[in-house]
Amino acid sequence: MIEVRVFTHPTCATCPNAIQMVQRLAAQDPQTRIKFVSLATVNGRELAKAENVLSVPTVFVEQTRFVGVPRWDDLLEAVAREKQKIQPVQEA
Amino acid sequence: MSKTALVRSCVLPLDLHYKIEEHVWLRIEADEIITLGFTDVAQTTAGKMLVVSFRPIGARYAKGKTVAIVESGKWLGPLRAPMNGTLLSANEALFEDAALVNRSPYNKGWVVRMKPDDLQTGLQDFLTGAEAAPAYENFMERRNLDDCIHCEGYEFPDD
Repeated sequence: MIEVRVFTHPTCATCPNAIQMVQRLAAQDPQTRIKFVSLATVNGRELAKAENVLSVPTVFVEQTRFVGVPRWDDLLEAVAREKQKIQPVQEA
Repeated sequence: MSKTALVRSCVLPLDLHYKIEEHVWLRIEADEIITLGFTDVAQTTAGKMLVVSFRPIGARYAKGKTVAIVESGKWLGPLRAPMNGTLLSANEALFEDAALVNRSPYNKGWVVRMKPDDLQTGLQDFLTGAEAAPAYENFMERRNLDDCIHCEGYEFPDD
C-alpha cells in the first residue's frame, strides 16, 4: 500500500480541495491508503511537528511532500513512482 | 544560519524586536523610523482578519495610545503606540485585503510606520528576536495557546 497523508486545519480555505483530490485518488486507486491529519488536534500537531509541516494543506505521498494543493498530475506521478519502488524485482 | 526562530510552529524573524504580551513586532528602518505589525501568534489566535482601521496619519501619539485597530471574526485588537512619536504612514493595502496580516505578517501585512521621539528608550520595552523565542514559548505555555497555523499562500520570511 502507498500511504498518502493530508495535513489540514478547519480554518484553511484550500484544504477541502486537497481532501477532495486525495479522496478521488483513493477511489480510483485501491493501492493507496489515505490518512487525514488535522492540526486542530493535539495529536495532529505532534505529527505535523514530527514531519516539519509548517503550512496546510500539506500532502505526502510516502516521503514526497507537496506544500499546498498538489496538481493532479503531480500527485499521480508521485504515486506511480512509489509503485515502481515496491514492485518485485523481475528475474532475468 | 536560519534568520527565523520557530516556536510551536510560529515564525519569529530574528532581526525584529517583540513585545510579546501585545503580539507586536517592530522593525527599525532608516532614520530611526519604526515599522509595526502583528506576530504570527497573533494572526493564528485571531483567525482571518477582516477589517483594519487607522488613526489619523501625521498626528502625534503618546505611548499606549491606539494607532490602529485590527478586527477578525473573533478578535478586536488595538495596535498601541509602543513609544511616544508621530504616526507617519499606514499600510493602505490592508483596506483592500486585511488578511495580508495572516498571509504575510512580517512583510506585506505590516500595519503602521512611526517616527519615535526616543527610539532607544522605547526599545527597552521590547525583546530581541533571540530573546523573544524562549519568552514566547513560556508565554504560549502559560496561556495554553495552540501552535501556529499557516494556510496555503502564507509567506515565510525566508522565502
